[in-house]
Amino acid sequence: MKHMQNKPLLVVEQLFHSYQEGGGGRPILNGIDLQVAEHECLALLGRSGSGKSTLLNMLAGIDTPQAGRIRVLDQDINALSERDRTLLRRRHIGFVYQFFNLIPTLTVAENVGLPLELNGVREPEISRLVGFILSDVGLGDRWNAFPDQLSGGEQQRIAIARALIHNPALVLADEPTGNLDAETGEQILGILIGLSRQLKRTLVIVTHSLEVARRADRILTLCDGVLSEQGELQW
Amino acid sequence: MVGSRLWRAGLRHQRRHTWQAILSVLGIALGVAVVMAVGLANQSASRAFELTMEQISGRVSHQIIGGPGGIPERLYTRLRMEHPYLPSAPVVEGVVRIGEEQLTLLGVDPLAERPFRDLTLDTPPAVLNQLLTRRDGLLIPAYSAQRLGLQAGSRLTLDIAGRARETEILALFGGRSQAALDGVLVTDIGVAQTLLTQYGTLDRIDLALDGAQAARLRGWLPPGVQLVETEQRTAAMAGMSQAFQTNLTAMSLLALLVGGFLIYNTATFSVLQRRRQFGIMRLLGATRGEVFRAILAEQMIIGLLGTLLGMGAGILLARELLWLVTRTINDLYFALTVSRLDLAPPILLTGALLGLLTTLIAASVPAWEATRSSPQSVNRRSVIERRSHRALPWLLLIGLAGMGGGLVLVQSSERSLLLGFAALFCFIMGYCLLVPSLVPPLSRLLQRPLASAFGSIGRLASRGIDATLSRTGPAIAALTLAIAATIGMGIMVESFRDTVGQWLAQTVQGDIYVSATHSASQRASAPLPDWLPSRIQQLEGVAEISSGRHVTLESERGPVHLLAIGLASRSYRGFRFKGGTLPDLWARFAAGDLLLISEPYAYHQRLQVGDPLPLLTPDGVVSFTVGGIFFDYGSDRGLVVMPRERYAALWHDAQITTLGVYLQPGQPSGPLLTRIKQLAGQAEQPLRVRANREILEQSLEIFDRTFTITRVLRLLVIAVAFVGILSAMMALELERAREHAILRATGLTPRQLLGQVSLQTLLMGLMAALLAMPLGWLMAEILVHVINLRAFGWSMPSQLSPTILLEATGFALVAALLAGLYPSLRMARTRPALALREE
Repeated sequence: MKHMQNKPLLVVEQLFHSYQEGGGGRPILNGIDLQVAEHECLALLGRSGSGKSTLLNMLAGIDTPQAGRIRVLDQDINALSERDRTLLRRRHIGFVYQFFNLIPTLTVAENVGLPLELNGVREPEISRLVGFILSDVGLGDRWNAFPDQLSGGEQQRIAIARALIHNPALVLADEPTGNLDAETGEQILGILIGLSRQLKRTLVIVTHSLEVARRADRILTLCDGVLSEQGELQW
Repeated sequence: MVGSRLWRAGLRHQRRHTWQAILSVLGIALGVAVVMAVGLANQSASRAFELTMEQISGRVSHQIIGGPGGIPERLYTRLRMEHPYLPSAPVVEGVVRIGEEQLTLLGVDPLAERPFRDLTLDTPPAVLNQLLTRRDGLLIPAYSAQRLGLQAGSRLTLDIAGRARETEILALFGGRSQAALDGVLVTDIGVAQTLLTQYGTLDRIDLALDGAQAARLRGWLPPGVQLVETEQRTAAMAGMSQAFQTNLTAMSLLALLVGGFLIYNTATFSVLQRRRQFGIMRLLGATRGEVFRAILAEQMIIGLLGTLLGMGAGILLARELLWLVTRTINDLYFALTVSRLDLAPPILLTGALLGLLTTLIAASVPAWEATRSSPQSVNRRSVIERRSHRALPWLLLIGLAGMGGGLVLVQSSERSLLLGFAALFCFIMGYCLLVPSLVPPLSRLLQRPLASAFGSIGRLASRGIDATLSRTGPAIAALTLAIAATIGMGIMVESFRDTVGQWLAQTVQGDIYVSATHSASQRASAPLPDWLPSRIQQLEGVAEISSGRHVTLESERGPVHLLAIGLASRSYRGFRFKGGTLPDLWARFAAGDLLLISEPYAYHQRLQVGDPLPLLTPDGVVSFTVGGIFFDYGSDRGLVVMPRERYAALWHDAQITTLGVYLQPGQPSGPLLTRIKQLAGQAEQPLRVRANREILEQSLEIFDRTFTITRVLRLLVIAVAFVGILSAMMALELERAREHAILRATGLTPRQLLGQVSLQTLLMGLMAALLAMPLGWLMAEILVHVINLRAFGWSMPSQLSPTILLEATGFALVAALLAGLYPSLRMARTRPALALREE
């Protein structure tokens, strides 16, 4: 628990959420309590449909729980307005998805530079930072390519670069290797965790793969709406 | 501020979907073009009328006008002698023709003109001398001369009431670029009287008076003439064609509405196709406002391009429409020459604003819808469809409320044309919102027969429509609107034509009719020779004759078109009355107590059976009673009918304008027609002798000519709609590329896929046609029973023609099939693996 002495960046208290099913509700998150420290890498493990993506969406402020509180950087995100939640996400959160979610009509460089532009960074600076991070993910030569000209692994590397370029305090990754073969997945995970560590970012990875989860500092398992500790692992 | 990357992403999307973007631009361009063309044509006609009236009226404040016989010339002489201090000028005005073109012949006294008009101001003294002394000299505006290829010294043959009259152009007046007096020939009053065979009478006396002078002059005037304010008279004339022009504008707005729907549709598809992309942007921190502005800005660029293109096309189209509008005004209302398109900045601005505003409104809905979606919907494709289905009850409710609003608007006023159109638009919009709710049950209804006819392909086709309602709903609604517009306008025109046909068959009871070719006077139709009725009556085989005299009278309610008739025993059948009549109608009519008025006249003047109607006779005002209101589709200005003997006695005018000849039973009309033509040939002026059937055919020809512009507009609405459907269907099918790829990967052959897509688009076409029928019928009911009545005062039954419904269904199916063809062919040729890739 080497990061636990750090200040908590993310605090979740008594989170409840259920989905409407048939006549009643099926609880998906049943009183979740969670703290993630600064610079920590946390893996959320669980089977498909266990609610881990729902939890991740709530951490990002793009879904709202029925009860409970989520604090990111000391801000209660559920108390924020929709606009303020968006601004919080824009400034402090990075996202990596299983299906990459790149914008097909923007080039690699434009996709990666988008969070900076949204944060008001000027063009020469955007280009400079994009150049750095594309080199970091090993795609410095694909600057002007469009997403449909890239392989799955390359697309995910671009997605990682985009998630990290604006120096977010918190990086959320939802099954980042779920759509890739084992070897590429391993490379991608190396880049994601490596860069997060290098840039001192807090990383929350949602996965159903124990292999992926083992790469995190800490593993939590989500089962029947309840989180349980799996232990600490070393980077 | 919208980030440049959001912009770039949007613009690249449009570039990647060039055809879709082109069709969007084309849709708005066509909508704007139609509105602008109608606006410019209307404006040009109105402006030409205003300018001509301004020039002709000049500084005239009042006019003395008389009855159908005009004003005796001696009244002017008396006026000059007894009121020498009052500026006054005599005017004779008539309609002449050069080929097919109608022109106005204005006879003035050049020596009395100075206080009123500048027409002869710059004429050299030598020419002025010639104008006063020659019997065939004319002045022509330089603009008209250039247009007609004439110059000073040219000989000009004028067709005046069917007779050819040789004249000479003495000089040109006005600048070459001055279109204000286009079509107005100026001559000395004596020459005009000779040419128009109007010896000893004037059409009016122009005056420049103040209020006190006018009051004094009113007291001085003898009975049978009256003093009117020029502005009032000009406004009454301009008002004649107002309803016609309003109707054209409304129809052009329908084209824009269809265009607006098209923009809404393509913008919706464009947004739906990129829903995932907008979700990603939202995930990355783009606010709702930023996404909204990015979408709107992109659509506004399309709107701007379409609007600019539409404005250019509108100007070109307006040149074509202008002569149609002018011809209709000439046919129905008054002589008007419009040769120049008035590119009025307000119309251009209105066209541009309408295009941009329509785009803004139409694109705002999908743009707002895109920002409403929460970012997590990126990963849930079903969210969109679930939301579409959840919105159905609301759409149903809003749609019903819209239609309810239409009903309230219709009933809130019995006369307002504007509220009538507002109601029509409420019904249209309300119904369009109902369409998506009606699609799922229709699709379920068709599922079983399709499955049994085409198996899985049929099932897929029908289920796909319901499953992708967010995309199929607007497409079917747009198609429904377009087809309904063609059905509604089609039923209206056909009902009108049928009614006019039946009315003509009932009204034209005589076997042969004789009339003058056309009149040179705007006050009365050209008279027939005195000797003609008795000579025709004596012909063997003629049972009896009816006679009529058409004149325009002045009344307290403005100009009245009066038909004085001498009825034959069969003529009575020609009248069909609306509602009840006064008792002993025909006996009291023959006695001269009662008048009959046409339905439009009763509507416009708010008259009912039993109401008094005072008319100005040469001996003063005589009050009559309205005995009955008859159906009449000959003129929207209305008609008053009285016995000819009564008219002749009161107006001292025994002339007749038309003769109806009734043959003895079993008598063939051919030999008598020839005989009457021989007799008519002996008259000084050319006469028209026509058999009953010929009149019916020619009248319907004129009807069709009058409705040419309606047909043109209907075709344009169809063109806009077709572009809309093509665009919607193409976008829909291209958007479903992935779904089609899955089917191809599962084992569907390209041909089967082509069949499935074609079946689905055909099904959508069929649904739209079925859904369009009630809306089309509703539109026709409103057009016939509300708009036509309020605009023209005509009531008529609406007739549902199966041909129109079949035509519309055919159009819907062909449009849908054609629209689905390209994307399915493209899909069939594409390797499924490419479409199956996520990005």
